[in-house]
Order: sequence, then C-alpha cells, then structure tokens
Amino acid sequence: MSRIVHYLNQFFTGVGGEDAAGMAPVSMPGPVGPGRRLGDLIGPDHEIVATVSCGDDYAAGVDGAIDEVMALVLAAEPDLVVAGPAFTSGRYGLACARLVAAATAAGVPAVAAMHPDNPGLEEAGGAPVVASTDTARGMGTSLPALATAVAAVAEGRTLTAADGRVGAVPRITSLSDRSAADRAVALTLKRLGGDRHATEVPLPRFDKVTPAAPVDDVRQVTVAFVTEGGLVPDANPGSLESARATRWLRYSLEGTDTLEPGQWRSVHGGFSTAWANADPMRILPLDAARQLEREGAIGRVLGEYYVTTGNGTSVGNARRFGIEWAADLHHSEARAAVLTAT
Amino acid sequence: MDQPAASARLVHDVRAVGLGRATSYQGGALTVAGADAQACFADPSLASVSFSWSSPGDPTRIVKVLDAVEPRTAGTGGAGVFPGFLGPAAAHPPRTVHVLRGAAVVVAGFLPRAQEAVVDMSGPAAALSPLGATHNLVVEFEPAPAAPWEDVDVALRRGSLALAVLLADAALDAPPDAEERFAPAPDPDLAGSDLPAVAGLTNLQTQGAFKDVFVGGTSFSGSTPALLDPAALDAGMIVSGQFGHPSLKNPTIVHQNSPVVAALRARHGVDLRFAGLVISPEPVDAAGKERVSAQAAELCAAAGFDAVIVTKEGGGNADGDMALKMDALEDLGIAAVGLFAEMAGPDGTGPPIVVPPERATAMVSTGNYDHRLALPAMERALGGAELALLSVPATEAMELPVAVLYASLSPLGWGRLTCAGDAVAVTSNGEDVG
Amino acid sequence: MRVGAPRIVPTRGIPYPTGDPSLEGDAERAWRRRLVERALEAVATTVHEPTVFEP
Repeated sequence: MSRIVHYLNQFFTGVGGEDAAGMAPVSMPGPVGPGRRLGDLIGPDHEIVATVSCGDDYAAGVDGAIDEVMALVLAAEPDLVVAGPAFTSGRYGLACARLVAAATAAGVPAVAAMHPDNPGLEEAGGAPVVASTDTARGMGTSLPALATAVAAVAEGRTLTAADGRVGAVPRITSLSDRSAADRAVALTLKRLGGDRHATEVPLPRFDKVTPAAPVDDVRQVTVAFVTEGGLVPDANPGSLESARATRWLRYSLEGTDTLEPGQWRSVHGGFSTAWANADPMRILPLDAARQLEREGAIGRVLGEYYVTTGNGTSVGNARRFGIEWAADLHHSEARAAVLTAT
Repeated sequence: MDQPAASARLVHDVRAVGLGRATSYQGGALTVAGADAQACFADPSLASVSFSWSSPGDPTRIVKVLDAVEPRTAGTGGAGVFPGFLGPAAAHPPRTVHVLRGAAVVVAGFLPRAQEAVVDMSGPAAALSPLGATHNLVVEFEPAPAAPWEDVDVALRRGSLALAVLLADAALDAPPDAEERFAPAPDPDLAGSDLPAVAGLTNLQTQGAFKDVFVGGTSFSGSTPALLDPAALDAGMIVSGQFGHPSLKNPTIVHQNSPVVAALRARHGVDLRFAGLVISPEPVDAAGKERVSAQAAELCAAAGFDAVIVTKEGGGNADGDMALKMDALEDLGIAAVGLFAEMAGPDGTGPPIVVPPERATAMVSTGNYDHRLALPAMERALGGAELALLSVPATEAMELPVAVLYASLSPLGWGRLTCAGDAVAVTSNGEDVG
Repeated sequence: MRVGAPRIVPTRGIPYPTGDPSLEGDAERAWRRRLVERALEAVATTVHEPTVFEP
C-alpha cells in the first residue's frame, strides 16, 4: 500500500475563493474535497495519507512558497505526490507544476493534472502531467484519468501521450540497436505507406493560448493599459529592474491626462530610452486613450497601469507575470487590455 | 554526369597493426614504415609529423581529432581515388576500389576554428564514435614557424589522403576477404518496378577555411545542388575539411561509407529502389538557403524520386537548411525524412530542435547534444597532452557532454544514439555500452 | 506570430512602441491615436489563431 500526498489549492479544500488566495501552506490528514473521490479510485493499493494546501496567490507569488509546500509534503513521508486537477486556473496550475517538478527532483515520483492550455504546464520540468477538463465541471472525468496516471507512475511506468500525458516529455538519450540511417529508411517506408505522423522527434509545441472572445461594445468597456517597457515614475520608487525583472508594479493614472517628460521614465535596459524619456507616451499611449475616452469611443481607461521590464526576463517569471496580470484584471472592471511591447 | 554503372568494393579486413621497416599487408596485419608515412607529409608548412597506432580496446584517448580517412585505392598510387587531390578529377571515378576495413588515418592536433573533439578507444565513449572501432594511425604534427594555418591544413589533408592510399596499396595483391557489388543508382534493371524510388540528399557545410567540404578536390561552396553517382563516394569524391561541432562532424571516412547510401543499398530491390544521391551546399544567408532548397527539391522531382532521406552538416544553422529542403520536397509531393541531432539540454527538457520543418514532420533523432557522460581515466593521450576545453590533462577521468565526442551524433546517420525511446539507456558505469 | 499572442498590432520601433519620432508633434499624436483605435478594433474582432492587425 503506497502513501500518497495530495496537493489542492484553497478553493478545493473548502477554505475559500479569491479571498483566501493568500493562505500560507497547511497540511491536513487524509483526503479532502475531491481527494476523497480520488482516494476511492486509487484505493486500496494507494492511500491519500495527507493533503497539503496553499492559497494560489501565495503558492505562485511568494518566494520559497514551493519549498514550504514541499516541506509539508515530505513530512507526510509520501511514496508519490499528486497535484490538482488545476483545470485552467493559471496560478493553481503553476503551483501544481512547480510542486511535481520539485518532488521529482527530490526523488519522489509525482504527477499533476491540468488542462493542456494551463499556462503553468511548462513549469513541470520533466515531471508527468495528465490532461484534465477545462473547468471543475469536468471533475467527474478528470479524477479517473488522474487515478489511472497515479497507478501507472506508482508502478514506475513512464507516461506517454496515450496515457493523456500533456506538456514536454524530456528527451532521454539511449543507444538503439540500429543506426540512424537504418531507422531513416524504416521511417521513409512508413511515410510512403501513408503514416504521416511517425517521427522520432515530435514537433515543438508553442504555448497555446485560446484567444479571448471579442468585446461586444468597445464604447462600454474599461480598457487597461499594460507594458513591459519599464515605464515608471521618474524616481523609480518600486525599484523596477532594468533587466531580468523579478517583479511588476502598478501606478495610478487617476486624474492624469498626459505623461510629462521628466515625471516618468523608462528603466528598460534593452534599448535606448532617449525617445521614451522625451515623450513617455511613446511607451504608454495615455493621451490617445484619454481622447478616445472623452469622445466615448471607449468606456474608460482603467485607473492604474501595470508595468514590468521585458529584458532578459526568465520565461518562468514572464509566465508568472502574465498569469498574475490576468488574474488581477479579471477582478477589476477592465475587459480588454492593450500591451505595449518593446 | 555519366550514367551510373555498377560498382564494387574489394574489402580487406585489418585485424592487427604495427610500425615496421616496410609497409605491408599480410593476413590481416597492416604494417607501416615510418619513412613511407613521413614522405606523404613532406611539406614546408609542417615542421614535424609523428605516427602512432591506437587500436580498439586500448586505454587511449585521442583529443583534437581533425579528419579521418579510410585507406582505399583503385591501383598503385591511387589510380583515381580522392580525385582532385591525388591526381586530376577524372570524368569517371574508378568503379572498383580496394578498402582496408577496420583502419583509419586520423589527424589530430590544433587548427584554428577547430572545436576540440575526443575519441576514447575504450570505455563507455568508445562505441559512440566510428573511430572507437577502427585501428587508427594517428598523425600528430608541428606546424613550421610562421606557416599560415591554411597551408598547414592543406598539407595535412593531402598527406592523410596520400597515406590512406599508401596503406591500401599494400593490400592490392591480397585476395579480398569480401567482395561487395552494387547495382547502379538508378538501376536500369528495376526501371519499371513498383518499388518506391528513394534517394539520399546530403548537405555539405561550406563556410570557408577550416569549415569547408570538398567535392572532387574543390570546395563545394557556391555550387548548386547536383546529382552525384553514389559509387563516386566509394572513390573518395567527398573529402571533409570541416572542423566544427565535434559530435556533428561528417569526417571523410563516414562520407566514404555513406550510412544512408548503405542503408538504401541494403533494401534495394526488396522494399525500395535506391534511386540516387543529391549533394547540396549549405549557404549561410537566408536567401541562399531558400534558393538552394528550391533547386534541390526541383532536382529531386526531375529525377523522379518518391522519397528522399536528408542529412545535414552543422548545428542549429544547418537545421534551417534541413527544414527548408524537407518542406520544399513535401510541397512537391516527395516524402522527406530528415536526420536531426537534438539540443534538449542536460535534463532533456529543452526544445529539441532550433528550426524544425513545418510540413515534413518525419524526423530521425541522432541523440541529445547535451547528454552528459562520465569518461574514465586513460593511460595514453594522442593529439595533445591537455583537453583545452576543461584545462585538464587529457588522460584524466572527466565528465563531458556528448557534444564533444567525435561524430557521436553523426548527421550522416552512422550512430545509434537516439532520443526516440525504448532502447538501452546510455550509462557511464564503466562498462562498454552496446 | 510564433510567440502565440492572439491579437497583434505591429508598430514602428522597439524604443517607441506607441510613437514615431520621425513625425512632428501633432502628426505623431495623430498616428498614436490611430494605433490605439486599431488595437480597439482588434479586441472587438473574433480570432482563432495569432492574427496581425496592420495599423
């Protein structure tokens, strides 16, 4: 009988929604919430001995959060770690992916579940992730798929696409019994025979983003302006970095119609900021936005803009910023965002 | 180009090697006289040259490996092999060549732009290089003071080809251990057959000094894609002067034994017709790549190929040539399969290929560039006393990425490394792998 | 396009994504306004894959 530790976010353990997203990591004995059904599906060979939970904001945003979660996970002495299903929830998916990556690195087999579009998917490293539905309405089908994956991983099997595996599968180097040239001839005959999918190297997957539906009536909509052009108040009070940014900031636009040179500047280290500093609206088009607002072409300009520096930003940080901006904007009145990219 | 005709290799196996008073081949034993070898390298740009044998299983590491050549001849003095280098590029390369199989002339030492390449004759890395299985006559050299490096390179190349012929000449009167006969490609006997016509398309790197490949003695840079009689490869038509990316090297010896041609010849008349070979340069500029890819695809279509196996030379830049050619072939209705090395990082999670094809999606993996291997200590090093890459004595135990092992990710398809799964894992527990 | 952003409006220069220093004051502001209008058209348009909206 193997010991499983299950990771769920604050919502699925019943603590709360966005209001509890800042919750620090906690551990509870046995299965909780959807873990009960999961436990039934994987038993009696495997038992969920503990559930570790953390608020999405804490898990995705606080330095060292995953280490704290891992400490609780390891304290329960797991044979295997399961995380999710996270569906399309970005911060939750990020946390699940980072957790299974950390568990695997620590030598504990792990598997997560989330929708293939979940932006956190890319952070799982080589740890296996299986597909779930897009929303929790699909919990009934997502849990059995996850249960099957848990059993396979517990047996030491490597999951493949046939098992519903999504995300990057690490490339393992091995020695074939045939030369590459011989394998090329075999692959050629397969392709000539009509098999157009056979390949030893899968095509790369780019981060797939399902486009948001268009806004119905732009004249009613609050539009947010966001930028990676490093535009900040002249004193850079938030100490935004010029490269390899680890943070993003928000500054108020309330009561401001133009961005005056001298009051704002770009700290971006990736290009000459002379033009931007001579006219900050070359980075953030506030004058045009206010004009359109006055004319009723848009509802209003969101009262704050978001900024980071897109210069040598790690993929992981850039992904996290995007997830956090989206979550934040969801809670605001904005229904459209314009990103100015340098 | 002449109509391809049948060709043959008379194979003499090399089972033992040594240095001696006279150059000879007797019952599988190959002996070379130092004076004969020296004469091949007499050149003002070389101050001194020395020769050592290194055999499979020896506790020897060869570093700074440059080119390797398989001894071949068609008659005393070569009689037309390595055309353009040893004698003029004749209209008809010899159709029958003698091969000393199991031996190689290997030049090792410093040249500019040459990336340091390693061959271990024993241990887990031995099986990963073609030179791990051959008796290697290692040529070490000192350039003459103030000699231009380009001249040194030319002298080494000419010398190694001359030495290769010298060695093979010693076997001319010996009864061959095997006779390998090959039908012409295309084969008139199968002209009306239903079997698919499959060809090879070999890309050659043409980036100037120390990164160049020669066809018939001339750099292939600036050339247009052309059909080449595969039998010409056996006669040494393609000679390598390309010293980049060690694991991705296509040395002369592998061109001589073209793995794709060999694999297609093996199935000729069985489930395919081996229909021919196209060679193409790899221009460095985007417009050149596009132009050459279109030309190569058109040539394949005109030749009536149903499928083409495409190989490259180089790293990520060459992937672009591969992708363009493979997609151009597919767009003309010709099935394309390409051989690619992957650069997926040490843990295999990075994107494997820099520039993959978009429509021609059948790719063979020749292994992960970044896979790391622990190599044991050796008793002897040839080619240099130090591994410059790590600033350690060349005989030390060390951990290296596969990227440094000579021809291990063989773009021409020699190797058995792959990331394609369900094969024996490559480990470094001290045992020979495979 | 390969980066995957579904709606893209191309601009004139990395150091001035919503500017064009080759234009004089009012002309630059007018150009910027048209750029933002194009962005608003983009968010009001259905797309299924990365789509470029020329300004």
